[in-house]
Amino acid sequence: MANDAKMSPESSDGWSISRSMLLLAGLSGLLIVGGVASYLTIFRQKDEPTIDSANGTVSDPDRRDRSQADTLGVQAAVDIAEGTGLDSPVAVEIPGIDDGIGQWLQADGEQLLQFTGAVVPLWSEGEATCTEVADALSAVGDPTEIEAVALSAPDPLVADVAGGLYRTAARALLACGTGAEFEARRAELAWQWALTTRVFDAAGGS
Amino acid sequence: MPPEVRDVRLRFRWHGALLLVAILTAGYVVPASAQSSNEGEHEPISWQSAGDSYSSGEGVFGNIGDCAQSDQAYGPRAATTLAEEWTFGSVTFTACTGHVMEDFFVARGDKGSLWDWALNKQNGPERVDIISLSFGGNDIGFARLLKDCLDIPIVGDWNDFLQIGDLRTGCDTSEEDIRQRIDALLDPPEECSGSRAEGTAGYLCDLNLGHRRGSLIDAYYDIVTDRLTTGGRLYVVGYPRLVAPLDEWPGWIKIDCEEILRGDSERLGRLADYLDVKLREAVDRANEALGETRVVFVDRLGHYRENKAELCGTNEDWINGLAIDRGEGLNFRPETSFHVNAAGHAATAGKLVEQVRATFAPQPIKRCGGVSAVGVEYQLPTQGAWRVAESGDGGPGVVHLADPNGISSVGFRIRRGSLINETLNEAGVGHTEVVVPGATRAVRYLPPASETGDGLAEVVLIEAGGTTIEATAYVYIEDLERFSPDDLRTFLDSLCVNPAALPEPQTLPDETATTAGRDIVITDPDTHPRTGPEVVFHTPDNNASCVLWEDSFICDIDEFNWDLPDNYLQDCDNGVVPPEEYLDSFNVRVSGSADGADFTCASSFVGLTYGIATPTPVEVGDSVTFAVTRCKILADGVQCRHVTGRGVLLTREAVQFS
Repeated sequence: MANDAKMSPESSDGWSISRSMLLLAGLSGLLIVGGVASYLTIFRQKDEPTIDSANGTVSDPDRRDRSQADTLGVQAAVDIAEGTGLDSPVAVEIPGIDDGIGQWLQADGEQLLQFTGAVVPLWSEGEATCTEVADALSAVGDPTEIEAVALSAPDPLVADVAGGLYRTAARALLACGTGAEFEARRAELAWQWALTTRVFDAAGGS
Repeated sequence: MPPEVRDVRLRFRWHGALLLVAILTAGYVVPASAQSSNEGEHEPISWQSAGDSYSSGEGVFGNIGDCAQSDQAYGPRAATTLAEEWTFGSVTFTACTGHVMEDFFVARGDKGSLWDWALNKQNGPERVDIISLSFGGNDIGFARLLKDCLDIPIVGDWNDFLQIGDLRTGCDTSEEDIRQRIDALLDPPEECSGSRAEGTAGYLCDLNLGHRRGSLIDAYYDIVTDRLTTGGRLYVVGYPRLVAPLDEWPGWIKIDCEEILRGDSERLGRLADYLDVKLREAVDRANEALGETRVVFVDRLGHYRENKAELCGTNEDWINGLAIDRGEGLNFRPETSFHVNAAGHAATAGKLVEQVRATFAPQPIKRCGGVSAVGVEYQLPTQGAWRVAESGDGGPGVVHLADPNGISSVGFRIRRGSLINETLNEAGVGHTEVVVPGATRAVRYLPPASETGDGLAEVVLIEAGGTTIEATAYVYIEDLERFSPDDLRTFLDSLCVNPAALPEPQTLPDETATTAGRDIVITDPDTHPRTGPEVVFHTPDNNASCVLWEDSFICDIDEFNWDLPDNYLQDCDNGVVPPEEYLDSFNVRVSGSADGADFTCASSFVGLTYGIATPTPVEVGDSVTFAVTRCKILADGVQCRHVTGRGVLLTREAVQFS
């Protein structure tokens, strides 16, 4: 595992449309999460993005508001991820990511961005969205396809977090209908989602 | 797609290989350029790389064949490295994915056992200097255990996850259960009749080692005693942890490592540690049983730990995570997952090379010279006037040397087939593996001493060119003042073989293979009807009879359809009696001992002299073994052999000495 690369600060430069789209799509799921609803209302009022949650895409998002939405979404996920008992995903130091990963995410890895957006309701809204999320994910790609794309990421860090997101999403779906067990898996998914979002952000900005 | 697809994806190889590519059946070839250095300074080294998928190279991208072999696997790689400084005679590669310890001894699939595969299809020698292997992982069902730990089934659609209704929570098999399986490798609590390789024996069963059942320790013991040369070494390579300890995981990996959940990774780590400890113990106990250090443990777990090379560790991974192919495009091969990759094999090869250098010494070249006859070179004892007393007369491949002033002798004879094991079994004595140039195997042993103590003998058995050369040095006790036993032993020490020059060996019809019967082993003649310290029996048709003593035997025959030699009875005290007349009163007698078998004088029929007491009852097909002689009762006669292999076939239709 090439995780000995030097550390570099995250950057917000070079946002890709696709990544922003998925974040915004994911945030649509936060509307019913009371703690963050007001922020999202402001956000939505300002930009009025058109969200296609099935595909995890959104039209013409504003760059500044994307950053804001990203921050808000991660914070919401962090709150839910407390259920894992793990250190906060925002406390994880993210090493430097290979150049060109942002471009890869927009091209060969685009499904990962869509996938990341499509799973948001599962951790943000909970068990009731299981069928809805499964349908949305199916529109992105079948499970083996998504896992293969994740593992084929040219940067090992990106492969690690994307693979982890695939697995935590799969485990959450497997736990649908189990109540307490689902909640544990939901927290893990939220943790992994927040981390993945941060990494994708860093990748896009590098 | 049903969730059971996971079983395909992460199924490790459990069934034998049926198809092997030609390059592998021909054996691994050490680069010729690497064989030239220092050539001639030691006997060429032979090496067999056996083992399971952690030895075959299953995790190396580009591995080939049903055995998933790669020339980058640690065994062939280490041999190639050492070939830069040592000369290699043969390097065979039999490691095969999914295999267990039993597969080394017992056939699975059409290639036979791993040992036979090397011997018969890769032209390996019957004894090798170095065997390296890893076994144990499949013996405890590790692949299945790991598969159970992976909790995400493969499905065709995300909605399938919702339908499964079987929430997996990681490893299903208890840690204690696996520990018991590991313990059972060393001390099997169950005596079984099946085979793990075939799936007919459980994890707590003893192992099928071919000619016997036993433990992993017994397996190591048998490999050393039955497959290695005198100075040979067995290198047992351990297994690494798959996943680094949790505190070494990078910050962004928290939930799982390559689908192995946090808790399960620690559990698997503890089990890897335990397996490592027990493999070391097995090696130690095997060495204790052997009385010397012939088995060497190669610490792979510790080496990985030192380099933090496990999955989710802080350095380069020496193990694959989840992987799906080996470089064959659409040919899906998930077995490459969680196996040692090329970097890991390179590291282990380096470790193995260190161990071999530290513990194995190539045999120095033995200088041959002296007298050469029928493909065997030898030097005569320095004391005495030794001359060939019998060569040609005794048949092709027989050289018998004697000093005219004594009874002692040295000599050899050549027999068809590889007979060392058979001879040793018949003799029931201990032996020492020795090096004889040109031989595929050689042993040295002391035949059982005669009760009368009238001589000392020592034997070297040599297998070469499909034959067995039986060389004997015999010192008659009354010759001890003239000949030193040590001097006679120089004859045995000096032997060299040129397999290409060996003659067609003597053929002794062996009718014993055609009949089956009881194996009557008489350890105490007092328990059998007798008239003296001997064992007597008559053939069922009463036409032949034998007496077996502690160090020799005689057999008589009454009616026969072959001609006596012209010189029969010439040396008898009553040799004036012509054969025809003699035969009217007596029978024909042969005798056998360490010196061989031949006609001898008969003063009466064995049946009269020794048959007064009730003889040991025998049937056609029975074998009678007493002291140094083993006789087979045939339909029309008898075949008796001294432990040296010398003996006679005595039937109505033939007499043949060997």
